[in-house]
Amino acid sequence: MSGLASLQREFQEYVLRGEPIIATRVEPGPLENHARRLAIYYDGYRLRLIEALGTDFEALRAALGEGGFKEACTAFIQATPSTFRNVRWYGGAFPEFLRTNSPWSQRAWLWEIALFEWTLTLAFDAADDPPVTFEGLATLPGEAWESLIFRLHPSVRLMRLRTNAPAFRKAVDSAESLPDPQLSESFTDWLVWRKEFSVHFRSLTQPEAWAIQALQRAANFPAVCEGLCEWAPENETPALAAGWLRSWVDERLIAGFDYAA
Amino acid sequence: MTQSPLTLPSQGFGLGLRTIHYEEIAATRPPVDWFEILTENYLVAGGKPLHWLDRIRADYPVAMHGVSLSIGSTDPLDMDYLRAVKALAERTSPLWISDHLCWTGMADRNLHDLLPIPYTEAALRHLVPRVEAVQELLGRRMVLENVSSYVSYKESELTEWDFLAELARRADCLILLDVNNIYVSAYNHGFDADEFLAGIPIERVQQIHLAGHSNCGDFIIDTHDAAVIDPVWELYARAIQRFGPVSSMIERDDHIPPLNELLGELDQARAVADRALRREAA
Repeated sequence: MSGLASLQREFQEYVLRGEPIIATRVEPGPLENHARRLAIYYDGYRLRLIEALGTDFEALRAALGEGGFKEACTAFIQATPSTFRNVRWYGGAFPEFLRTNSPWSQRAWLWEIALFEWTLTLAFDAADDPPVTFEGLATLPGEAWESLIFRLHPSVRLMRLRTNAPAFRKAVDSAESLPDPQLSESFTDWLVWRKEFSVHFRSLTQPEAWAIQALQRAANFPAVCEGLCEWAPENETPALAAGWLRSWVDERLIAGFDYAA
Repeated sequence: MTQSPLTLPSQGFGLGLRTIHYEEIAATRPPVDWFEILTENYLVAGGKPLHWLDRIRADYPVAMHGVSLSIGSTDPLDMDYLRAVKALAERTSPLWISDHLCWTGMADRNLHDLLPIPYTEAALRHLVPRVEAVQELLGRRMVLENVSSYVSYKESELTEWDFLAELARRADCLILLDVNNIYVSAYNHGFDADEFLAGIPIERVQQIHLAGHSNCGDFIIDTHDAAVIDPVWELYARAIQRFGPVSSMIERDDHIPPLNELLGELDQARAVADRALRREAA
């Protein structure tokens, strides 16, 4: 290993794990305080990552309190060295860390809050794609509806939660007091997406969640209507799906369509 | 025959573009000559960051300033990252592209910090082909910035300024002179900041950074969270006297004040540079 590589390895071992070997290669400095100077790098790594996590997980931070959040971040940082060039991506594994590590794993709402907030960040800077308008749909020939496939906006995310995690985020966003955590036996489906430049979320009924999942699988519109027969009489499903389609267009969830010419 | 200059002539006085100022900048078009963007903030697929960047770019020139090139790392260059930087450059047509003379991690780890390099001949030999490869890929000269450092290595053979100057000559790259970083490192390592300035080749200085820092008593940390202090303004004046008019900008990354306050600080930079140039001419 070259001298430069060994120096970098020793420096990195110090920053990540506190291994002090690098101190032997560092000048003591004017006041011989090289341990304190090295600590600037050790502390700086943690502070920067905690700051990045604090930006991405505001509701989790509020739910845990400053001390508790810092403790969770510190444990995560110790267990998960950053492999990301851009610190923006560092928090991706945080929800799973909370789900699988005690004491956080015993409070299901914590990791669901984290998972929910991470999903919001993914929607925030997902790719742009101009939305389909009502006028665009109105120009479709009648026969197009027989094979019509809709493309969802790249920011659209679906998730299933057992707790009231979104209520925590809502409370933080509107500077209200946090709700009590609630854990339910059943799941609720949630939709997260970006409308223009704001990230939105709302809960979904089971059939609407199924319909959006069907669009994600590139099912065509008649197939979506047919699939809805599980929840509604066959003659009502086209109206049901058409009603949702109006909302989806209004909410800018639909970014394109295709049909057999 | 006169040689064409290596650097762009001074573009005036810029500010670091920060999220909280987006709307005000787009709405009021403040008297800033150019903005410096943090490259990594815009290496995303879409949404607000790119929207505002495009809006503001329509009114102002921008320079791209990265923090994770890790030119000094012993890991291979990250070609995916470089291709993303190139794509962003195609989108923004920046005045120039800068990053730091440092390393940020190795063995696929990232420490999210600007870590010092030992100033050795071996490090220079490692760096030169890497800078050349980056320049080849980006199709332009890189602008590399001196970082603030808190430790120096026993194995260093050169001063920081000789190392930077030699790298710039051998790799044919340019220099972003961070005057605050010179002040911070001079304080931390006990060298003379004016010696640093004197060692930097005039023809390769493309840009100057100004910023505030935190003085912890027996060392200074480069925090970019406060106004530029008087000794740094004085060092800036001496830099302008040596290098002439150079595109200068103020960086603020924490405790970011209202835009007006930064515009006032930028006016101070204009006044300091103006006085320094008049003194030089006198």
